[in-house]
Amino acid sequence: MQRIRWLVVFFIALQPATNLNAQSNRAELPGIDTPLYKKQGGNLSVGLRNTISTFSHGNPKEAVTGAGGHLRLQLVNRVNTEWYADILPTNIRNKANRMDYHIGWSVMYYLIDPRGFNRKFTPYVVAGHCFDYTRIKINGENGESRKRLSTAVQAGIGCHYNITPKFDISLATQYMLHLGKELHAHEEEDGSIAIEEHKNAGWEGHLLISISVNYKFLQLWNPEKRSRKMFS
Amino acid sequence: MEPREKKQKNVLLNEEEIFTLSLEGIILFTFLFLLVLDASSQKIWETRKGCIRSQGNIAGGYLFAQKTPSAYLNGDMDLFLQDRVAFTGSAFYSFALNRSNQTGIKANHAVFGGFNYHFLKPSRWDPYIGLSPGLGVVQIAYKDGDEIRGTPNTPVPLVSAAIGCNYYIGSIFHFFVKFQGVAGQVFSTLPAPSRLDELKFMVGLGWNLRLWKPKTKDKCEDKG
Repeated sequence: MQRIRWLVVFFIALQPATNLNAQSNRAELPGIDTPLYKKQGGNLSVGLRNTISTFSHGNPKEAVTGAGGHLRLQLVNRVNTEWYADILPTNIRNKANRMDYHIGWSVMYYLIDPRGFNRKFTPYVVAGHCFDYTRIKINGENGESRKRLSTAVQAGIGCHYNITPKFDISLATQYMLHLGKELHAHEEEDGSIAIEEHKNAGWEGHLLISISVNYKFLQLWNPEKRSRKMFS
Repeated sequence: MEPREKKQKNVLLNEEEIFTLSLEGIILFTFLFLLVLDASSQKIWETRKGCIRSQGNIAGGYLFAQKTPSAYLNGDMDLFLQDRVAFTGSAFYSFALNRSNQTGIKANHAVFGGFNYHFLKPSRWDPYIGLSPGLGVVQIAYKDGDEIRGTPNTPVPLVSAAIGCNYYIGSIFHFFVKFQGVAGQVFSTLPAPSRLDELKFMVGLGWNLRLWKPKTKDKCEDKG
């Protein structure tokens, strides 16, 4: 009888401990209390990029390298936004130069679920809009120069290579179409360069290839909390 | 007697105030020192996250278009956001290597910012590659007829990539070697543009310090 009494006391004492253990195990199991991958909305990342611009006015020889940076704010798992600025200097036949300054934004849609960026590759389509300031100047101290402020739209495809879930290298190719007046320089028969401006010139654009390094440094809001609140 | 008192009143702080300030300074310094001591218990070759690595040095370079060497006063830093990822920034102040009556690049200062990826998990050896676009401030002397003229200081966007390796010899110091390729061109008032394509290289002794202690969770995240 005495033994049974001790056994009962022992099991009663053990019960809260086993219960606690069971709880902690349950919390650790993925897919029961926590989702397999964290929701990605609210991610803010900073990126620095090198940009190559080709096929300016259909001329594949006028390839330009420029530099810039961007901030990315992810809205939901599959939708990200990019806010960028670029500078692209172009050498026009060693006789004139063109500077393009872009400030704009794009929306990126991930074609596959990024799974918390644990996949190595995340392909996406991208489209957006930018303001651009262009200045063409004939080389030399007192060279003629003309400038233009316009807007442009761009669309293309890209892919993140996720080295870690927080750090990626991205390669994107976009075609940028300038809207408004066209400003360009062309070589005359005598070899001199003339700057021309055309109204309602139609399609004028270039292909932009950018390679960037990006780091997600902040999560501005927690989508897990939001969805929990909504369903509670 | 009166002028002396006046002189004393004019002094910004009296002795008592200086003593209080220095006491506050000592207390603050002690706390900061204890904080650093506590943080530095984790060596950089065990966990890189939370460390800053920096160096100040004389750097060399070779300008391909001009076919001339270049020299810089250089500083750079890596702020480790993860064990394998660091935000990097560097600055170069150039020395003019040509004479005042010669044409060519007179100033080629630059700042760069980007990210470095460190291949290996934390250990004494730390090779890395990085992408870091930048901005240069360039001045060039050119011939205009018989006259030598100079461009104003002109900002130039630069494209750049780097490769390097660190070897941590202690909790504070490390040896480093780094090569950085830079590409760009300057127009300014020049009759023809000038390329700024260059290979910069630097080698020497740098220092590293732990700024914060990563949580255990962060270390696991890094491994994934």
